[in-house]
Amino acid sequence: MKKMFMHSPLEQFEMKMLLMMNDMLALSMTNYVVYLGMVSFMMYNMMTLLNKTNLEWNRWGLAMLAMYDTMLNMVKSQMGNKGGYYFPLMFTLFTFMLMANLVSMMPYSFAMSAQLVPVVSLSLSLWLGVTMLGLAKHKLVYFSLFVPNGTPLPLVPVLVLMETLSNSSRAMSLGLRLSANVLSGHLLMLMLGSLMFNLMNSSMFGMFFGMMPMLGVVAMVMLEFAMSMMQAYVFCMLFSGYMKDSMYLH
Amino acid sequence: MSFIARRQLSTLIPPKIASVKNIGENPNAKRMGELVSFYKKLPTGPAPAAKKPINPFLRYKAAYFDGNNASGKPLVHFAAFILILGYTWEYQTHLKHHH
Repeated sequence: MKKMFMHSPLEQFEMKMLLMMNDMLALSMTNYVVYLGMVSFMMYNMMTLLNKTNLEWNRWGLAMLAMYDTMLNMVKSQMGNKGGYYFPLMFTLFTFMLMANLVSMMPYSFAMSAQLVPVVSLSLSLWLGVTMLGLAKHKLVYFSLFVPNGTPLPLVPVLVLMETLSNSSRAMSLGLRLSANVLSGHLLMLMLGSLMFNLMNSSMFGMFFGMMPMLGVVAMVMLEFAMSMMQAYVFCMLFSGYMKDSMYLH
Repeated sequence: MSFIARRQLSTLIPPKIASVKNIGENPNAKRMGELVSFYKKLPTGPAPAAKKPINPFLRYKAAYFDGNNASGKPLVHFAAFILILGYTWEYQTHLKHHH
């Protein structure tokens, strides 16, 4: 039985090597790369689900259309009709996050979104892209974003400092939010699961007493499924909000 | 109506194969003969079953994704695949070293 369970809740986030290159983690084939490849393969093949074989969409097609429509509505409500330019980016981001989060919910799989380095790097590069978009579009007027409308002149230096801080912290917070949520959710699930197992393993009394954490585990798993979908949506919604700021300034 | 206008109009109006008036006509009439020969040439009986693809990916797609076969079973297959892959990996790299 000992060989079936992880011994520390943090073991599930470990990078495991398949092929090592030059004694480095950077270029090696790890479980992260394998899961990334798996999600990319599914995303690439998703387009085949949208083909119409009958006169109407089948169930897979409808599921895809529901996702498409959800994202389109979100992008249009955030950025207006001009947001259509950035819809492919948003849809790709959403499907990637959603699939990565859902794949990580399967037992013995690997939580890609819980790896802080890649997720924060992604959010950092997205933020950098949005800033470059704003600068290219509005030139120096872009910096008016750091001065809220109707600010009294003496307060401008302080507010500019605060707004600059809040704007640049978005680069971190976007990725950190997703990563921390997935990380904490997986940790909690595993800890509750181990508690339940140890309780039920201890005695006959513990066997019955272990039913309570079992309900907790079931509730947590359901919550985590909802969370994995919500976090993908929230990531894209916040990113569209940042993009809207760059496109229209105020 | 000029010739060109009539040509344009004829692309909008479908060709007159049969009408209520024609159906009551003499069965030996030329128009009815053409109609009967047109329908005679059409294939009869149930539609032939689509050829099964040889490619295993396409066969899987035909069995679980296409048309009315669309179902959530691939998700179960995928979960089972991940479970087997993940446990094997975990066992080989980690769990078998615990005593």
